[in-house]
Amino acid sequence: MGKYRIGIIGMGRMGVTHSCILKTDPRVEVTCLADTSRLVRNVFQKHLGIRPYKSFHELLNAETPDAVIVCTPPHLHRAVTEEALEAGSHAFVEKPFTASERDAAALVDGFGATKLVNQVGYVNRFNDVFRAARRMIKGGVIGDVKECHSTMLSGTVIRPVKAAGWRAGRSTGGGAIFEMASHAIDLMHFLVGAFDRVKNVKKRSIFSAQVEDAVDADLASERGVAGSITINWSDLESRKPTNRIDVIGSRGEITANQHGMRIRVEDAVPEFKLVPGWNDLEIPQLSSNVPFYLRGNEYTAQLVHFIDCIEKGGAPADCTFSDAYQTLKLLTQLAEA
Amino acid sequence: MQPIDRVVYGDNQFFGINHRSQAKAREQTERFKTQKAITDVYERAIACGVNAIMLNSNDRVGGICDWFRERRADYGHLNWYPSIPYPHKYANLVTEKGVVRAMIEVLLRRNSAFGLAELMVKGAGLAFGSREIRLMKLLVDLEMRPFQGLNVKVVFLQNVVVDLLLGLGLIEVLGEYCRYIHRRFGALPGLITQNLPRLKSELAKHGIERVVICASINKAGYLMSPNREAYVEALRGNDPQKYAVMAMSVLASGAISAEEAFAFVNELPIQSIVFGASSEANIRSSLALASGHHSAFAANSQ
Repeated sequence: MGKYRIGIIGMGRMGVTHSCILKTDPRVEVTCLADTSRLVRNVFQKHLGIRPYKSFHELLNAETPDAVIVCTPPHLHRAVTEEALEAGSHAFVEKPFTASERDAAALVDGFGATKLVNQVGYVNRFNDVFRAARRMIKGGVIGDVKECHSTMLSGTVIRPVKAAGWRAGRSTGGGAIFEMASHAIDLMHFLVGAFDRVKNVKKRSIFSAQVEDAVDADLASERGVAGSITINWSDLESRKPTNRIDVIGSRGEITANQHGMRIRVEDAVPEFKLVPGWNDLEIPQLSSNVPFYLRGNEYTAQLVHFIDCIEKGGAPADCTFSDAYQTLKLLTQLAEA
Repeated sequence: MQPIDRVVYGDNQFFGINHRSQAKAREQTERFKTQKAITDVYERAIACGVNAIMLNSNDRVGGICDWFRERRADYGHLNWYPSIPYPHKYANLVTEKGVVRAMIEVLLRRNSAFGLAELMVKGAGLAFGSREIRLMKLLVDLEMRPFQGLNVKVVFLQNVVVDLLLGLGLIEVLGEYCRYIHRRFGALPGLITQNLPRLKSELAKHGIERVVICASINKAGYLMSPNREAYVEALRGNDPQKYAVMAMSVLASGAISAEEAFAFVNELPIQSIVFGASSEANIRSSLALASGHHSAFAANSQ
């Protein structure tokens, strides 16, 4: 069988990142792309022989890629992905999944009726530290989960923003809730299961004119796990985005970020080389290699997983449209609160 | 190929970069807020025997280079290993505005109108190369301005740029960069990567030689794609006249001692090690361990 043909829709930072990683995977060929910038189209056509299109619509009219990578602004995700569905293409969609709950539900239904692989780019689910934390929690290492707190800080918006790009507007899927709380909540869902509703929501604008820059809220679940989020994308101290998560269980607790974790357990756990009391684990000890590195192992790991699923004939992905829909329901509640 | 220093003193400790712990990184940022805090440590490191400095072209590099230029009598012997560009300077701009507008903004902000005009004329005057290559050369010149007048031995291109070009298959752009560094600065070109086996094989395929390759090399195999075994194989088959290899992130090996971490790297056929440390004790022990059985001053004595 030949290589899987991939189309990239939207060549912003994530589109370029995915193109680069996919070009190193011998199982696939990046055959076409869509982008509004002529410069971008020219560069990729001239130097890499990737067929360029001005819009996703033109691309999907002319081509039938085996899979598409959707990296447009979030409010366009539904339209692009529905056309991909009609073309019978597997779909990897960047986060946040869509700009509205209705759009997300439509895509879940559409792909649910097929065997097409559907995955959303919640990249933290492929980070080695968070994957190890999940295995430990699922393995009962800290007992029954009682609380989960997720903090995400970054210096994304650190000067007044008038109106620049989709991130600055709510209707296009921007704002700290869709851009950042999405990561924080998805990570909670990944580690301890889904939450159902938000409470005590506090939103603040610091630099942005039209959207919130910071949000705090409590999260509640039917299972009785208490949750909270602390989000600020205008944090002047943060050079790189940091996701910190604290999970408190009946017999221990975990504090983790992308770079390492501290875990307290009551009994020794030989499987994870844990001794009673606090254990510090740094990412070099937890890390696994990826075939090609760009910007972080997790970026490659998520695409390797996507292609693995396609190879296996449409096995469910690790971060499916339904998973992302769960997160989007809470984002919508936060935005409307 | 000119020899490079066996041991090079890096800068991560000053700028809040710690691959192992973010809490520690934040502490360091706090500690090195003032330039004096940084130059005090440099003075100590040089007194301990440091002869070569690797420094990223971040927003504080101008002041640090000025400080060294003003003390040429004492520090004129140092070899410099700048790395460019400073990725975080562009990261947010690129997200907000796209690549081209970000480049224009950087050009305008860092230069007077005359400086910009001069650069543009020079860029347009280059006889060959596409628009992208010319832009790259303009940016290299801009990033290298703070280092003028220092003994620049190698000019490294950051891994986020190298690995992006490598993955996309734009190897010729890397070739253009290497030729430009040789010609423009009389220095060796350096490429930082987290994918050493792939980079080395692609450079060889395209006949791009006399390049310093800097990569994470450690016992844990951390940041070594595709895996540690492929690195060891690539290093064993390497001709150091074509590619000098500099190891970084040597200590990123989790719970092993510094002795064990350096011993692993010292047994490999590499030419150089870059390390970071700020206390005198750590600087001394790292210098001794990184020198291994080679002389730390090999490059200077030749």
